[in-house]
Amino acid sequence: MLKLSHVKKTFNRGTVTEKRALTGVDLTLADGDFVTVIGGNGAGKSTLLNMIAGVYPLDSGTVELDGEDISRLSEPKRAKYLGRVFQDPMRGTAADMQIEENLALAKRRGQRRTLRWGITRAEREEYAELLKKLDLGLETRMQAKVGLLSGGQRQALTLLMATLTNPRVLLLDEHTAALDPKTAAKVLELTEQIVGERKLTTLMVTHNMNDAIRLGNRLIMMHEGRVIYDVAGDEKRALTVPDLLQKFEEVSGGELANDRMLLS
Amino acid sequence: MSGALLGAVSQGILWGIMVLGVFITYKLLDIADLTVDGSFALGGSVCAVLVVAGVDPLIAIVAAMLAGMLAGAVTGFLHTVFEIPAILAGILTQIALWSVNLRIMGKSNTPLLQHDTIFSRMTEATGLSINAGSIIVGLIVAVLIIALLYWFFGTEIGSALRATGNNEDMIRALGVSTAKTKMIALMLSNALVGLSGGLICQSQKYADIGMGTGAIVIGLAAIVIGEVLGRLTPGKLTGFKSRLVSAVAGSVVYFLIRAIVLQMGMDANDMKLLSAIIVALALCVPVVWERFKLRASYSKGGEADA
Repeated sequence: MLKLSHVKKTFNRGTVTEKRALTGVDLTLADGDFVTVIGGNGAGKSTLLNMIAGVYPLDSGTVELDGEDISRLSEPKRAKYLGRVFQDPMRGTAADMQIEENLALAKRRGQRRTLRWGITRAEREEYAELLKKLDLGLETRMQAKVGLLSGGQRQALTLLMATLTNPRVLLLDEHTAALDPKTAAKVLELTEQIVGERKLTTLMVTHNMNDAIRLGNRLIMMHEGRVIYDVAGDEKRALTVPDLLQKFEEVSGGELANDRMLLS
Repeated sequence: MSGALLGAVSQGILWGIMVLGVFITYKLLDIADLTVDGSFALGGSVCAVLVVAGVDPLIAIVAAMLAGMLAGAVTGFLHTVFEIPAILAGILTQIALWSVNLRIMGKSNTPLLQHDTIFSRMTEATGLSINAGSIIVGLIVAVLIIALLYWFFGTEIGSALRATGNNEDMIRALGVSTAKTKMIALMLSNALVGLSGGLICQSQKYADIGMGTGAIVIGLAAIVIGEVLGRLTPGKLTGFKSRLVSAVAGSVVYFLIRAIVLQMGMDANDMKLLSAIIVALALCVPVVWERFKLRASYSKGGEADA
């Protein structure tokens, strides 16, 4: 269970560029919850994920994971519990390293790294099996540098890496936004499959309202650093895009939709 | 002439150990670590003082290596703990080391005189010429270091270190403290630089406060030359092992070029200018080539798909 209480974060406090990114977020995810997160630009979606991952220190509030307060743990220390996929396909993998090397690095997430060999033969077989499931032909190119892969292939690989060791929480930060529609659909399908199979507790930020409604069992909407709408179960399944737009106007008194969201 | 060339080869191999150190920071970590100029002279100074004090030359070399490692740790500390940009942290350590090295030697130059060195031992034991002896000693050390580096960068820690230079966000998300990996890399790199400084000190039989000046540029030039060599070799040697070997080979070629242009009557003081020009050219060529390709691929009709 992931529990955020009164989480606040302001960037560049006391300067002209001061940005109140999170103004008090309370959010509890039950085990196996697949939550989609929507909201306009600057609503605090990515900051929320970064706070959970420990990229920046909290201003106030707590982040608890299965009852343990992880608010003060550094980013590498928290990594043990978290799988992350970023928007930019370049960010999730090491381009100059081989596919299997990348997987081996991910396999050791949160573990103490030793002077043992960085990849074992048994691992190679395991990775070949997993890559075969992606159906991208990567299992035959395991020694290829990741930099040679397309954005979609890299993102699929990153997703595999993020879930290789069953993280307690999977954080997806618009992980399909930089892909073309066809590839995005494929990566999303893969996401659904992996999260569904392993019942991973997941937070997925997306700009696509249809995806947000279709995927997961719960949806939250953010605005100005707060959660303004939280819906789950049957109520969520019955949602439509116009519902979401209307809901947003009700709560915030403004327009949610920018062109990008309506078109996507 | 051939004696001068053999001398250049032996110098190239011994400096090649330093080039391997620069390779770790510049190629794997993507940092131009300027500590090198200081830690090379530090290795030389420590080695010279110990040898003159009667310490076994082999132990003096190990001490030079440890001293270099310590210098790397200082740069690493400034860079990772206080977030001083790597280049500036390196410059600070380098400048500080100038004074430290003078303190260690007590003067600007320490000759080894008739003291034993690992090279004199080698020549005495085998009866080889001085140049051949140093080449063999250099090769033994170089092969050992390359094997060690190849092993290390294949381990879990070594892989994490390579990934740090490749994609910091990613490796941090995978639970690795990049402060630690950078620290390890800087220490390892400067240990090799200190080792090389110690070897050069014993091979030339003196240490000098200025012996490290421009070492970083020599290192970069050698790496660049080595890369070109690797690419020109049939079969395109771009694997990790061959990259390490070509770094040392690049160093040998650099010192051969140097010996040749000096023979041709170039002033030794102009050598640093030449080195800088080699590195600058090597860095410019890929950029110009990219631009040229971009321009060449433009076609007015919009049908270019090649």
